[in-house]
Amino acid sequence: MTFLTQQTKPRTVSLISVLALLVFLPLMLLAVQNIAVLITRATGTPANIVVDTTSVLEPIDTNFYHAFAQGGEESTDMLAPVIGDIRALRPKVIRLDHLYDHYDVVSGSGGSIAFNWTKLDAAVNSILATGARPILALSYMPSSIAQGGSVINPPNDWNDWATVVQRTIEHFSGKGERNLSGVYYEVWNEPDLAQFGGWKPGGAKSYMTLYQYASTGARRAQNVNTFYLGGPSTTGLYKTWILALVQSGARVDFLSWHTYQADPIQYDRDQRNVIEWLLPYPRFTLIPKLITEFGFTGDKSTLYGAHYAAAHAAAVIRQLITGGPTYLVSFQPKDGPGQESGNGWGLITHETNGLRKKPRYYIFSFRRRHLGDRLCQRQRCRHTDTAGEF
Amino acid sequence: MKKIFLYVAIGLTLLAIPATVFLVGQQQEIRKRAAPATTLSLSPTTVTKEINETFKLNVDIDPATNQVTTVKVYLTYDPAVLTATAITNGANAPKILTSGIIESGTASITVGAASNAQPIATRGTVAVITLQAIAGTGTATSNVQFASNTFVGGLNEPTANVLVGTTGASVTVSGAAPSLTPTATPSATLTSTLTPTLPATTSGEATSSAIQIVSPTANDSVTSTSPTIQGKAPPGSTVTLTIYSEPQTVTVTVDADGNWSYTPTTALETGPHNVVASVITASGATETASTSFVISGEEGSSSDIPVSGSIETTILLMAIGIALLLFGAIVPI
Repeated sequence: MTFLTQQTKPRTVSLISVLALLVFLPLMLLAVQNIAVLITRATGTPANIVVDTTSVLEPIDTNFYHAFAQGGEESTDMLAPVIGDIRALRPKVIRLDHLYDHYDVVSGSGGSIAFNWTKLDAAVNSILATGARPILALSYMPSSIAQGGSVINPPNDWNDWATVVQRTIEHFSGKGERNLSGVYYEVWNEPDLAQFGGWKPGGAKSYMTLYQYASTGARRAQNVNTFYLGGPSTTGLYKTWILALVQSGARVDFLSWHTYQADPIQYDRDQRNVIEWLLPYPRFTLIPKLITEFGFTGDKSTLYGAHYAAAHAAAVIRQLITGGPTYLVSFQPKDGPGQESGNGWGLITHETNGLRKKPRYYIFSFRRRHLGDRLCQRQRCRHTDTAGEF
Repeated sequence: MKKIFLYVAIGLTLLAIPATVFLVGQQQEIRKRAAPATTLSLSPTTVTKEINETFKLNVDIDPATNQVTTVKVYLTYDPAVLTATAITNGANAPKILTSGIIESGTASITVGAASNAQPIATRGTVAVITLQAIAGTGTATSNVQFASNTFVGGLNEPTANVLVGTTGASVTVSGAAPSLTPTATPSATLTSTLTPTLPATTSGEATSSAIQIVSPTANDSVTSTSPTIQGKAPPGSTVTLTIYSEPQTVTVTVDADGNWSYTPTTALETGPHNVVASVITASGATETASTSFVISGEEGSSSDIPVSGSIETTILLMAIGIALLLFGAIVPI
């Protein structure tokens, strides 16, 4: 017997019990419903994906993302130990920078300027051995011709810079020398970055002067195969740089920039922006556009060794699968040394860390599975800024 | 001997006259070719469908004498009647420069020629839009038409935009028309402002267009970063202006005398700019006019864009050539 039943009449107890049931029953039903919703969410619901096979869109070109850029964390032929692994990815182009400060190419200046291609040839040979064509970033200033000997300074004599570019093109594209066809020569690497010179699109330390003299060197190159000269290779897509270059009157065969953005949709926005800016310049809308480095961050990150990096690369490729750049160049095939924590940008770890393939490596072996015509996924082939599917 | 030289001189002069006429004619032809003359049209121009039926419209280009590199297609339609499901490029524009975007009532894509060496120079399809009828139109029709920011880039022309006219399509969907909502669709708003007598443009001749840009003229160099753009169009109509390269789109109403003007409220950057003005006719066709100008940013600065040659220069050079020829023939006498 409880205190309540002792002190109250049975009828009162029954009445209180009924009232309590009436109050708590709907509350209990509400709680059960909420739990059911939570359980449903936790288990997931199969997506109702409807692919309309009758709505065939354009053919998919998978070549554009089979492109890689090897950085210069070592002044050696970094690709040599991973040629086989990179060749398996069927690369179309591979970019190399630090041409003039890592490979001892240039010595002397003025009339006594001399060239030694031995080390650089070895690095380019590794690129060719993967089946790719080289993108050579004409960087940085050879110390023997640079003001104060600094590789990020302008030269003492701009004609020396023009000669360096001329001889580089004649060496690799010359019919009497390496005889390569379709080489991309990109003027400098990230010129806007302080560590690479902090060049501006105008003013005292103008990238346009650097480019103009590179263009002069390209014009002087004799007996050469088809090649492409372009830039500005900035750390992002900047309108002032792009327009300054197309208005410069210099030879511009392609436009390039880097993108280190986590948001995949930004890559699509950039493509739309650059075409919109170029509409008043119809001669430039069709020239190749190259994103010569990309990633979710320009900083080292352990996420580069995780599935996140692979998912990011796939999402960016999806954004650019149509209406994208000529090449989307992943940075970079191989880690530098001392990155045992897995924070390097590479698809493959350094040889001192086992040459292990990271998850991002496998994104690029999907090529055959991506070939064919693009189909319309009902309600999702509407490409809007809010669509982030891939 | 003197007579022979005299006859030769007279003969050369007689030959020089038709040669001069021929060369001047060629010069005029070159100038004619240098004019924007491209038109875009949808085909078929009339479509009749049942509700839920899907159909395709081709975006066809007639570049006339232009060498087209880039086509930015921007289509509008009534979202209460139609929904777009896809937009892609056509055979005459093998490159997709920006992927298609479909939103409620609009569809856009930017496509291009294979290369500058292989521009679009023949008639053909540059884009294809797939639409689905979702509501009936009753006895009326629903228009699919080109918006004013549609752009056609051509090589070696005085203005970057060589588009001079567009023709849309009319769609009839069997079934009752949807009830009207207080917010009118863009096409309804624009159509209601037009005088009903305007003819549709199918020609690229600027003189036949219902709309003109009077100022700035092609390749003008101006110092103001907010230059006043002036033109003519049917009185009472609404003109849509798009200013590139940082696109600004505004609408202005034409006054009773057929004049319109607009002064940008946001300062434009120095350098070249293009302006496209358009007005929609009663038949649903869009007539456009375009011009380009350069903001020099300095007093007295000249345009960076070279102007095409003049007939007078050709005649003068021909006259000097003939004179030298005759002089050379007569002097030995």
